[in-house]
Amino acid sequence: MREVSKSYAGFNANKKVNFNLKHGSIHAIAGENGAGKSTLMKVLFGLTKPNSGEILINGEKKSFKSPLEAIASGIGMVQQHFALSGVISALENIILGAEPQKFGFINHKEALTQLTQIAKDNLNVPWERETNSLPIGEHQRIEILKLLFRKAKILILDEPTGVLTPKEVKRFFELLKNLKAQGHSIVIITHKLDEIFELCDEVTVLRRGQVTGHFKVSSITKDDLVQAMIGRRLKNLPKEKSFAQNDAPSVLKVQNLLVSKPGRGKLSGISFQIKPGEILGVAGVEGNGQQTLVEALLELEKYSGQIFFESKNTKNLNVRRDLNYGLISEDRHHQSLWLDESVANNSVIGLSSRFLKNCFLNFKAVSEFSEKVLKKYDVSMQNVQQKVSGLSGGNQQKVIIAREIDGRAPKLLIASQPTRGVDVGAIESIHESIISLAQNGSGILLISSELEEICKLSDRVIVLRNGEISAEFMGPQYDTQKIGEAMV
Amino acid sequence: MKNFKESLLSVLAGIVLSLIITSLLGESPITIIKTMYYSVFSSFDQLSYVLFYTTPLIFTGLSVAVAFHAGLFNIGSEGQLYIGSLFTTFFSLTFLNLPSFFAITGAILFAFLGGGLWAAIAGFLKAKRGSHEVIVTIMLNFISYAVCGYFILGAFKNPHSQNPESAEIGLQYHLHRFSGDAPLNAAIFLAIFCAILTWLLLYKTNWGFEVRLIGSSLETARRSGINIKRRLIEAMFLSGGLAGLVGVHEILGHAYKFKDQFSNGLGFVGIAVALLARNKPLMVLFSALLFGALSKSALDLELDTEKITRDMALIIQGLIILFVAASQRRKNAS
Ligand SMILES: Nc1ncnc2c1ncn2[C@@H]1O[C@H](COP(=O)(O)OP(=O)(O)OP(=O)(O)O)[C@@H](O)[C@H]1O
Ligand SMILES: [Mg+2]
Repeated sequence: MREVSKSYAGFNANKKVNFNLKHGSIHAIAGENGAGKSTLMKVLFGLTKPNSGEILINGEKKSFKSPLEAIASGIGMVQQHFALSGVISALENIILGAEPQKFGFINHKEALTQLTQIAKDNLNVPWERETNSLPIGEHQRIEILKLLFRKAKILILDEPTGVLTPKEVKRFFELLKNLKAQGHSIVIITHKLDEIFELCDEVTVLRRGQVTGHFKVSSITKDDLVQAMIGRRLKNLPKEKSFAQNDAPSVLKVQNLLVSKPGRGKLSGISFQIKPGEILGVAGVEGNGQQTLVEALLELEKYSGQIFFESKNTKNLNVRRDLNYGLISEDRHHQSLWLDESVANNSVIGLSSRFLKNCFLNFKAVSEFSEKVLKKYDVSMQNVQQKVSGLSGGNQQKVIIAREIDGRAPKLLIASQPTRGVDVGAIESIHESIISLAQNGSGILLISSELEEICKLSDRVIVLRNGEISAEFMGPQYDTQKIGEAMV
Repeated sequence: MKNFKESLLSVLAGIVLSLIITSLLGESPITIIKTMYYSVFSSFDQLSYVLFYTTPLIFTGLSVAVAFHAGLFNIGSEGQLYIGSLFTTFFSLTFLNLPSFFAITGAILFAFLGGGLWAAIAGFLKAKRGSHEVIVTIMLNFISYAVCGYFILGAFKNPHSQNPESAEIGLQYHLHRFSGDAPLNAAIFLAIFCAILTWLLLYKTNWGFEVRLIGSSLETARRSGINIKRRLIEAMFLSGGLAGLVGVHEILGHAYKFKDQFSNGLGFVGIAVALLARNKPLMVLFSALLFGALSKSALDLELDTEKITRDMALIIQGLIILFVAASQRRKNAS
């Protein structure tokens, strides 16, 4: 790609970016949230048109009007946010738009043979299950298979491992290395430095729309990379001490929580408590009951057993409204945001009744509030009146964090994957916010597939496996090996 | 603004295509344009007629739009406007000795209440049982036709008439009528007032904020602490209430009695009105005006041309909806 520029309403998302992808190599794109990584790849995939610049594939000049044309040239992309239909099966999602046919009907059998061939055992997916019923981790694999099924030679993966567990990531990397050996070229956008060093050959760093570095991975250090990404070094402060008030009455007490459900996602009678100031980490492979746990705590799911918030039984209460629970949901687009509204309005979802003036909503106060809580997260945006859908993924997450932690100042925070897709600098500030919330005496339930994050923040860790607590560990030092073993 | 342009284009495209069809039928497009133009603009009376046809469409258009903002597809405006009319008839035939101001205010409130409660049934079933509002409102439509027939031919019967209609309401219930031939009456002010009020409610209050969140992002709403069930029922109540106000226009402003089956589809045209206005309450005013003008000119087309019947208006309406839907579809795809 040569001198590619792209601007949105006067805002330069890409400024004269040069990008070279070599045959059979894995190339990382790194950079802060909003640096323009996704935008650059969307240009390559024909999803948006660049204002200037050109794309050359094998020396041949191309300009894609749509993804279809890009696919025809052997380019495939998995978006940062998945685009799967929930109501059809995994198989059907993969073949959608490129169905093998027989007499005008979809030939499921043929599709299945082709797919098992592509997938080998690297990427097995329960083909026939309705996609909605699969955990989000499986969705990622479905997306990859979609590309391979369309015979893509250049794979673009926008933050592909955000939703995978460490073990899945390992398998996934093996798959990518295999693909590379078969001659595929891969672009991978990621915020995880370890992945770059483990997997990639080259890395291009973007910052505020411009290339600030292009390195051979073998010839740089982590610190250099961070410097190029965020323009400073990480403070890398460890969490000093626990703020858990172990003698105080619990903020949250869960007793024999049982949710029966066919298949995955059931809970078979778990009990735990969270003290004020305590951060309780929930480790585990996704789809082992985490989502059900959150829904039950929110009283959105029927359960048996008891849940107490500050010794009050929460049964059938509107806990978000009446008990002011903070909540960071794992699927930000569908569970946390109002995509076609402004950043300001998104900052007050669930809090809007605080901004009444006579009978009306005071939008001026809403904007001021939004600006205030977002300030410390350094969100890259034009202003708070901008639509939240125009923000980069990581910046959207910051809007949610600011609302739920700073906006609500909750006594109990349920945080599911709070730093998914967030850049290293912002992870730091989100972790700081969570810790300072604990310091102020709030209890925190931290659900994350990042073992590193769990170990860094938690005072105590429980492992969820198949709806049961399979192990419990006390901090502050953890044996990640053992936790990993308890997960599977 | 872009949406507005697109809607305008859709309308033009619909009209042009219709003209092509009519010229294939052998009627010169010039004649048709002339007829339609005269039918709408040639005199003050003609224009008043257009506004008269517009008024109920504002109510039903708003009705559909409000429900839509809450993510509900209210196909039941037709039934709700009948029940609203029934309530207003009941009020007018019961309280015979009220002074005009209280009489009219009470009748308006009753119209709103009737339509609102009728729609709230669908809202309630949706909120508590998850029953799909489309099915429920369609069924309620059928029930409403029967209920209205029962009362009109029974308790509210007009003893001096052979027609299926209620007794006449008292003079103190009559809305002010503007001078001229057309039955245009003060209900149009109520309609405009409702459009403004609906806009304020949806876009400027916390209630509207929550309702719109539910409509466009249900999962986020579910996790935000909003009382979704309550908001759904309230939104349906408002939606039905607005439809019910058609009864004010018809019974207090025009016929002065409840004629069985008077509406003949106003509630369904409301769906088209809302669609063209993209559910924006203030745009509903203009969209309703367009559909009002179409209804009016359809009558004259039937009278003044040989080959064109009033179905022409239906065809134009259909084409416009098709184009609006197509342009929205395209936007979603991109
Ligand atoms: N459709 C859009 N409308 C307006 N602005 C946009 C749009 N898409 C992207 N932007 C802006 O362009 C910038 C770059 O966005 P992009 O999604 O490429 O960032 P990113 O590097 O992928 O970040 P992240 O790591 O958070 O995903 C952001 O500041 C964003 O606000
Ligand atoms: Mg991105």
